[in-house]
Amino acid sequence: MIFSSLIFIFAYLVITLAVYYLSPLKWRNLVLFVVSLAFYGWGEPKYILLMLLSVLSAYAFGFGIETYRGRNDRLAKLFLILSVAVNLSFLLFFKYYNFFAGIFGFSPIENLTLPVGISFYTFQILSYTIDLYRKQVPLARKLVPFGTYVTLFPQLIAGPIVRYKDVCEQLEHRKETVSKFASGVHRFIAGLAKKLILGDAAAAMAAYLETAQGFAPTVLGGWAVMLCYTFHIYFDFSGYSDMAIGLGRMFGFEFVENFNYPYIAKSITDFWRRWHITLSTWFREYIYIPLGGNRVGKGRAFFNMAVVWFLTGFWHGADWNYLLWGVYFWVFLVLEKAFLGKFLQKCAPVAHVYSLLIIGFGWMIFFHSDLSALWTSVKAMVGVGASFADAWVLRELLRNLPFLLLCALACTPFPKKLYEKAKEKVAVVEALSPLCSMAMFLLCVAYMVDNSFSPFLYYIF
Amino acid sequence: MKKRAERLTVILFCVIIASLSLAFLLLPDREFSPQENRALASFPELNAETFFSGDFGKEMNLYFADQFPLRTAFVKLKGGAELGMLRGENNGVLYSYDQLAVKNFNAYKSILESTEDTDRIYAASIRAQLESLARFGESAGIPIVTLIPPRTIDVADSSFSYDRPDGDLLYDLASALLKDKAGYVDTLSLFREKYEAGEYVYYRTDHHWTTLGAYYAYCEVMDALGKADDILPREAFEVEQTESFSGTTAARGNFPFYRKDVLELWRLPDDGEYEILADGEPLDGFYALHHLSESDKYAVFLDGTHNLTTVKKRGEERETLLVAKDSFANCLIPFLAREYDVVAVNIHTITSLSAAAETYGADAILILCNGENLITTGDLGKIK
Repeated sequence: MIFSSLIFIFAYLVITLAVYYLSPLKWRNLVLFVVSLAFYGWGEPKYILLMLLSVLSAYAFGFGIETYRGRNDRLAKLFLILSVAVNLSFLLFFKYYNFFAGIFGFSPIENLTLPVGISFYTFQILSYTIDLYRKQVPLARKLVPFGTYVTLFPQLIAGPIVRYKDVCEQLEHRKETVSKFASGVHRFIAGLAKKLILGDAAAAMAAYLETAQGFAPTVLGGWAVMLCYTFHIYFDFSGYSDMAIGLGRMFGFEFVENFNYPYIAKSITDFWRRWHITLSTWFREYIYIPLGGNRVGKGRAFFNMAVVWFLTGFWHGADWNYLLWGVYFWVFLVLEKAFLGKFLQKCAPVAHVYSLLIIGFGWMIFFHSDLSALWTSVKAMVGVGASFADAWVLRELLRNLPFLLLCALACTPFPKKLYEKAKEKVAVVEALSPLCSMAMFLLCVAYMVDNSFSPFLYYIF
Repeated sequence: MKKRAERLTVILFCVIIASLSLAFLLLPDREFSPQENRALASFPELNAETFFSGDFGKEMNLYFADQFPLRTAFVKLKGGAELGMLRGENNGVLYSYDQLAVKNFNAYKSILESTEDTDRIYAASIRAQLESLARFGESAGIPIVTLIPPRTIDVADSSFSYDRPDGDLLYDLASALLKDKAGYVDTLSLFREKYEAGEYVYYRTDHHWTTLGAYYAYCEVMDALGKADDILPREAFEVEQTESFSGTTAARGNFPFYRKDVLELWRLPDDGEYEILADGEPLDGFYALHHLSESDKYAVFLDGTHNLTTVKKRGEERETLLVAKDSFANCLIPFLAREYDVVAVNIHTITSLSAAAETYGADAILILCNGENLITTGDLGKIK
């Protein structure tokens, strides 16, 4: 089930909220656990078992780690390795088996579909196991709160990747308040609007322009496709995170932020502090720092970064373009660390333009799993075998100019700042905010009614 | 103030989702949407197989969207919002108050030159279809006329100042390949000229030509078959108008404001003398008037599309015209039937046109397939 669907909001969420708030406090985690499994099983129930197996193994091995940690460190480590190996093997098998089968020439498994959200929940489980071993979190003694942590439907399918240490306190001692619920509602609606009104339209525009590019390539058309991809993935994915954070608040949780206006970044280093923050944090904490981080020689640090970015690319998908995408960012991060970063600090406009170009081009790699199609697109962008523009593409862009400007504005902190300022200056703004939110909500419902199916990008990871 | 706003937010949100859910649950399902002219999804079949395969989940989404309370209002709200963003488009339909048009891809040079089935949008090689039809035309042995009615966007491009590089290539290619071999008659320049001159030849809200447009097509066909002298003058007809027709394009665009169409029935005093069979069932005249009270008013012409429609005039021996057609012909045939006995077969389902020509003793053939069907279906190339 996806958040921006009628069935989620008008069946699942209604029932879940009702049952949750009618249940006594001590049953609420159990309620969340059960409804989250239903949420997950909707559409593809067979993988519930796999997820339960993941949960149970990490839960059980946790006791092993806790028991022997400090007394018999080798045994504790063995349990750590077992737990990590079991959970990682599920991910590796379902996500990467056919990719490697293709490379090494053994026969692929047909109909091997990726269990929804496995990349996300596996990383959550690993964060618990590793942090437990490092004594950074207490042992999860009760199965239900731990199961709730892994399966919690707001973040189950596409993040944010919530680390156990960030929510273990909340699992047993959270407080649902009107204020939290209200802010959750606003946030959820903002995410819905980003996804449905901006993201889907940008996606449709990208697809339309790209098809036309195939027939009559132009330089301008190629750049327009890149721009649409850039908007599409941001509104799609950050919209999803907004909805997840908003839903979490409705049930009293406070998740960490996942996006911080990534397109205003002044460098690629800065961009990755603002984009999919929970994933970058995870890799930093569990891969980069254990490898020695940057408190090693320069060469070794670059190698460590290479490992992280190879894995980041690979995490996004078992395909060459994702690997290329990861390595691509590694190159720029290394360059920035070596000398480019200092230069960029001196001239902000150049830094912004540079960052946006690198990011945008990165999305071109991201969206083209067919590398020869990528090459064709790139050739068109630099004018090889393509005219600069034709009347059709100019007209198409001009017609969509107000929409594109709206998208650009929505990528900046400006609208939010404006709202905060207006709230301070004019009292009635705050009083009107519920009505504005609800009007936006009804508009989003209209988009869902007219657009029966628009799946999330990150749903496939 | 803050507390009050927060409380109001929570209450409003809960009331909205609860009341819409309840309404969804309690209101009876509707089977048909007259606005969109299509059957709405019903509650999907639930069994172990459909559930575990995920089909049930997918169909539930469609069911929800189709049966959602206030569906029509919501759908119009979205159309209005898209207009509000000044995009001039919703669901792939271009908007101007006086003319709507489906935003189709142009038939680019590269597509026309391609000899392969390209992709989903371009179901079959257009060139191959036209060449195949040319071969059929050469071997037909009786006079043949081919008409490819242009799409609304081709005719009405001036309403959107919508540039279409290569836009006419499709019709140019058809002309080059079919003019001598299958009697191709160009209608694009004719309709565009009339449209620019302010004549009402294509509907504003539907993808078909108007009755006036069909009349012009009738003149062209008669001329091509050497019957220019027998063309009935426009003034001979008595015109009956039906207001506020809203067609397929409007149903897809869902815009809150647009100018509706006037649908015209052109009658002659001898209308009662024709014997019309649609798939073997007799029709009461050229116009199936009960459709005028429905949303799909275009079906008034010959009761919409059938696989076989025949028209004879009682007590007269006349030549027979075999028509392989799509829905554009439905309002053209009443004109042609003044001159010919007509046997009309559905171009999407006919297996052998030459066999049909023999069976019905056809004296001439008319092929009629509009530009969009040519691009997307590939059925024109299957004629044999």
